Amino acid sequence: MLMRFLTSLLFLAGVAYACADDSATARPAKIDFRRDVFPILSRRCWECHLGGDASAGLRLDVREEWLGETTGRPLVVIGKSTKSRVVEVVEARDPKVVMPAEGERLKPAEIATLRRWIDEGLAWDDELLPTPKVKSDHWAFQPLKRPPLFGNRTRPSPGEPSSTSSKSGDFGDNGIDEFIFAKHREMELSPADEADRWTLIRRLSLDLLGLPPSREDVEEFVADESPDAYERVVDRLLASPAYGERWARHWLDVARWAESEGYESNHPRPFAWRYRDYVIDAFNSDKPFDEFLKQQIAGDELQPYSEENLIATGFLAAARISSNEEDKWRQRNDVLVDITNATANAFLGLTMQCAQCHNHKTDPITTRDYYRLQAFFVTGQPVDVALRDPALRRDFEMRRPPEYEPALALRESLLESARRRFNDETRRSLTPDERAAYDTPAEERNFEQERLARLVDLKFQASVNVLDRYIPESDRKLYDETKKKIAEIEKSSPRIPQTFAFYSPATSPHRLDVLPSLGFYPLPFSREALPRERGGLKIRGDVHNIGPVVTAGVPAVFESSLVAPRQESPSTRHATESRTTSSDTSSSNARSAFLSPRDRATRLDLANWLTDPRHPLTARVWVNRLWQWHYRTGLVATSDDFGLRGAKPSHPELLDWLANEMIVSDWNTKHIQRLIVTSRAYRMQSRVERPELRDASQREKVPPESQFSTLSTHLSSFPRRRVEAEVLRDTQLAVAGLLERRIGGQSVGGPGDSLDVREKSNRRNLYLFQKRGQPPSMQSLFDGPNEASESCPLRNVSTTPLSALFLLNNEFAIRCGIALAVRIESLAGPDHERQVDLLFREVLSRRPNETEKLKARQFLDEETVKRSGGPATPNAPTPLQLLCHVMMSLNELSSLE
Amino acid sequence: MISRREILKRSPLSFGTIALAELLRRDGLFAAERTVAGSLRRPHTSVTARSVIFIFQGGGPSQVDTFDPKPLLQELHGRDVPESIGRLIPKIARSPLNNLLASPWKFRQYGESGIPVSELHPELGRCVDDMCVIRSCQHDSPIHAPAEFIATTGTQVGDRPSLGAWLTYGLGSENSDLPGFVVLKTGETVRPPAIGTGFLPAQFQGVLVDSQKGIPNLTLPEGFTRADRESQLRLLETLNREHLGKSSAESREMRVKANGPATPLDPRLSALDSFDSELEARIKSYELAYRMQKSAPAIFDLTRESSETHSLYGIDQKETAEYGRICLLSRRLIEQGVRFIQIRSGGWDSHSDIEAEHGKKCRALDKPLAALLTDLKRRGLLDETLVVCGGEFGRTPASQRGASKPGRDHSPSGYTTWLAGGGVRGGQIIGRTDEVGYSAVERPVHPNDLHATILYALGLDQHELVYEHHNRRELVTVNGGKVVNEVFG
Repeated sequence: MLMRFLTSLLFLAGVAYACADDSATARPAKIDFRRDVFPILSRRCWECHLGGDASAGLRLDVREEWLGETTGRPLVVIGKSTKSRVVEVVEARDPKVVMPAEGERLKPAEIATLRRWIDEGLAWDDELLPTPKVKSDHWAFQPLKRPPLFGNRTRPSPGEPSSTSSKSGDFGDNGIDEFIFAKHREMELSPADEADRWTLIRRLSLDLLGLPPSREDVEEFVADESPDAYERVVDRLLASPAYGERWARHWLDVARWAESEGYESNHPRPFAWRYRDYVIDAFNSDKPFDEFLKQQIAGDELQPYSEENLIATGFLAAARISSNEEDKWRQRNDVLVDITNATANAFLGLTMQCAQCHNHKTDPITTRDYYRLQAFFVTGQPVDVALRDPALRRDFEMRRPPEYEPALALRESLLESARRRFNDETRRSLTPDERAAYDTPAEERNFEQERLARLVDLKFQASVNVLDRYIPESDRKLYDETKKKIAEIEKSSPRIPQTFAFYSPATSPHRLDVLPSLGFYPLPFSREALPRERGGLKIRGDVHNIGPVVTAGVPAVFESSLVAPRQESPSTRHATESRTTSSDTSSSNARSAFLSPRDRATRLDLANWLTDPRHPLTARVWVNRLWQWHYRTGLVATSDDFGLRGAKPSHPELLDWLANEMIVSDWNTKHIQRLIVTSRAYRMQSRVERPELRDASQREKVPPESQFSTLSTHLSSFPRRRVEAEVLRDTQLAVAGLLERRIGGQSVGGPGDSLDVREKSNRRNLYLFQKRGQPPSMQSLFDGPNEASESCPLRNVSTTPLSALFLLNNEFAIRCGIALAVRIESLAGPDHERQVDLLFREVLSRRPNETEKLKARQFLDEETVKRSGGPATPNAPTPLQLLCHVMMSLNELSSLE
Repeated sequence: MISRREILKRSPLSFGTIALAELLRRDGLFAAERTVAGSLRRPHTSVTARSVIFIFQGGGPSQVDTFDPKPLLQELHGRDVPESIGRLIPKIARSPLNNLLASPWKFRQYGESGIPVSELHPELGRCVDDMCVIRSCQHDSPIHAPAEFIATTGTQVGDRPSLGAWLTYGLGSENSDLPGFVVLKTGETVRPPAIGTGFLPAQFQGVLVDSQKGIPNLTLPEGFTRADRESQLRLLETLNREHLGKSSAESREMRVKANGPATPLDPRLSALDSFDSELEARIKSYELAYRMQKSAPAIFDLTRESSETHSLYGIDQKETAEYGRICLLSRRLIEQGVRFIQIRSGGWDSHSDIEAEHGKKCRALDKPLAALLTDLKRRGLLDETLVVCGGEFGRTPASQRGASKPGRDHSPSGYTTWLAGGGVRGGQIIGRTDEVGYSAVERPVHPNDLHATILYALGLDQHELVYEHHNRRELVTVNGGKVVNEVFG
């Protein structure tokens, strides 16, 4: 019964129209809410069912709640009083069921009024009973604060015109230190001194490029006495192509990007690398963050068409897909859930995933908010799309054998006949009701027919693997031969230039060429069916338990914080007025002015809303991520959770100042990074003695507050940390002189190659094929991405003997050690002292201290003596190789100091 | 003083990176009486298991051919499931209600308990008095990977920590020379999430050990001698200590002065030296690695076992040799204090010719499994080792459609998992399936319940073992789960 109620709501619009029209002609005067219904509700219902703590969680003073939008259990079916739960209970004979629970039963006339009210469309008076606005005084949902004044350094608020431009080399305007040092004064901490030049250039280089500086660069910087030497290094590094590679990897963690589908089948996505290259390029070309965001969320909708826009949607497409899921509803829903969660995590910094099944426990986010956000994505899906770039196409066409196209055409025609057989058979298997529903044009179907039609749709969606079985026996041989031939050609010649993108045929103005999916039971793509998809609640997250339809929209809590310029004025609503879907109950307050006036909002609307300068989260979340990647801890320590349970900002004004700076510099990411790394705070030493903390009474002044708020977040010294898996591997290759510096392109160890190829590769770890669940060894041992099943805000750092074993015994470590030894020997000659000196400068960007020099030299001397009688084994390592191998395993090599 | 609960809640942002085992060991968690004050509270006084051997039968063994005899099924061979039974079977894809397939194997009762076991398990049959057979396992996913993830991680998505990772996180290993979570496998690939760490740090991941080759990267590089390695390690430690340097000595001293040695987690001080602690841990990790390198080969060296033991496990016979080695190795690792051993035995997916396929699998596994239980028992280890054996689901009593020789399809509606040792009351059957063995009709047990039960045996309350992730307290049994108390008698 309930199910029928819920599903009935799916296509209420038509129903509401029909019934309202019927009854309108049959009855003289329409129900007036204020005059007829309001008195009944206020006298007989609201004693219990009113306000936020209404009995049974059912509040009857909000129209949406009559439709079950929070509970998922509608009390009325508009236009059908006989099927409405509320009528059942007021008419019930059973005293345990009947409502009102106390006092007299409703009078027959009152019930008749309610019934007519429902049948006529559940008219409401928004002025009398407006939908309550969701409000929150949580700091992160408030507008950015105008930054406090420092001397005469003021900044305009976001939205105001700004003449600020960030010129390279313009370092005079760095407010970071003001905030950091103000905090120090407050905490009675003394800041550390500036680190030495050796440390600084290595810190900058590892941080900005993910690679150590070359010995020459170090020595040049150390000797450079000009006042802007540091700033020039910063500029040089920010302009290096390696910068994009390094920072792309940070973003790819957030984007949960990988190169296979995940789940059981885990098919490769051989063209997902284009998105990785797009991200590298976005950082290198200093793409404004608002544009970066728009391309990723709405690239297929942007005008004019560009290949780059399309590739950028790889962010959405990075969702895992269970390719052998036979339940197509579940398959599609899982993808949508993945995309919704990742988008909310990445850009809003909110853990909206909780609201998939229930209203968020701590944040003002409802299940309805969740599915409204999801509704932005329902008409699209991840697909392989052919690219149009003429150069790419030409190259492909030249290298493709002439027999390829005819073979494809032949296979297609054979499959076509198979498809006809399959369709005939499927059609024969339909019940008469199903057939009738399916044959009714979409716009004429009633609710039940639409539901049936969708189910039937699924039956017709056969993958090639299924169609295969319907090839007529007479064609079997020809088909198998053709298939084999195509497979052979595809194996030996390049595939159609394509990218793995997110594409909606409903909201994209471009007709894109979608290629057959490579999965086993892929997510079916249908230009016809996708535009019919509607957003809707799933009760308790269950894909088969469908709740009310919702239109795309942003979480209600943000609507009060963004003043919409084109706010619709609240008006008395009536179901028979120009409502396209009666469940779009949000016209007065929930429809943001940023959303299109069309009945369906686009992802571009969402992106525009996110990048509005007044948005309270987007800029804060992004600058906080940048800060975290520079310092390991964000100003908000929970960089993926700016909600009520998230950490409070350690420096709230600094956060807002940076966010503001981000916006007024036209979302210039490098500008923020330049501010961060040129600040005095960033240049401090990492190791300092803190006499002030020796004294317990002084220590008492450090507030115990939250567990996240530690001394390092007060930044009285530079917090040291272990570098990421990729940086460690790249660094080993770099100091060994083995690193291959080619940027971008297809991944190493992808389809057609063995995954083991990755272990032998000398390219940056970023380019090793990212198969879900099967990362390259070092990536897996040093907490790099593994399954990439969700947005990763911050990596773990764990220590295990297995990673030590890898560094000690794995062939990779040995190979790097040997290559390093060859370099050192050729540069330093046989002299042990010179070898040691050079080794430290090459590997650690500094000179050895006396102890180190002594110990390392002793090691070389002793090992040489041991070998004076000839090597112990045929492949015995030389003393220098042993030493180089030790250097490669040093903790300092993997520390950002 | 920060409680252990705080330790467990601690997110990776602050201190979650230090092996919990280390912290707990310092606090004497592994003291002889094994009872703990504080909030990683043992919910009951008698912890019944120290470690777990989880034998996962990938592909799904058939319940009606092993531990769940159904006379009615034999009678109805070739006929449809009677309506009275059929209407209670959950509607799940690939659950045909026609063409029932009688079991090709006979059952007989074993032991004092008289639990019936089929001819497929003549050896295991002799152990039934130590076994608790749950015949009513049930969930709703008929697809291998999601079902395997339900069995190993609690949900079908495959993004959560596997049970072994949770337990290693919660309890650590009792042997610092060996990983706490070891996975032993036969030829086929293990699905990574089934042994993965999900959101837990990488150190809790199951270590795949090849039963022949042992732990990866455990042998010296070619040409290296032990002497080379030892002088390398001496230098490495010297240089690493030099790097750790003066400032950390400072902060260590300060910590001792301020708080005494047992409270390394004062948030005000941890920031000063959390990286130092990590560096310290990494220095130690080289020592551990080398100790592992020296001691593990001996543990993996099965020639140290008597020939009687070899033949008990069937290592001397071709058919049983592989699992014999794996089971014997499991016992040796248990002796060494490894917390969680997961054995992956694949090949149970008998859609076609179940008679040959299940026959072959059981001939390879029956004797080694029986030997494992027997051997653990005679060494006094069975009392503290919980052995769990089952697949991701069972198989349909009905015939597989379109199979060339009779076989059965996937069926998660009612299947068998057995437990032994670790406080389990043997010789009992829990739950019941319907008269043809299709679905659980009495005392259904979800994999989540099994997980709660395993935690309980190890003295952990499923609601206490938590990890903060995405600012949410994550539990093993995120979707609920109740301890099956009868298991323990």
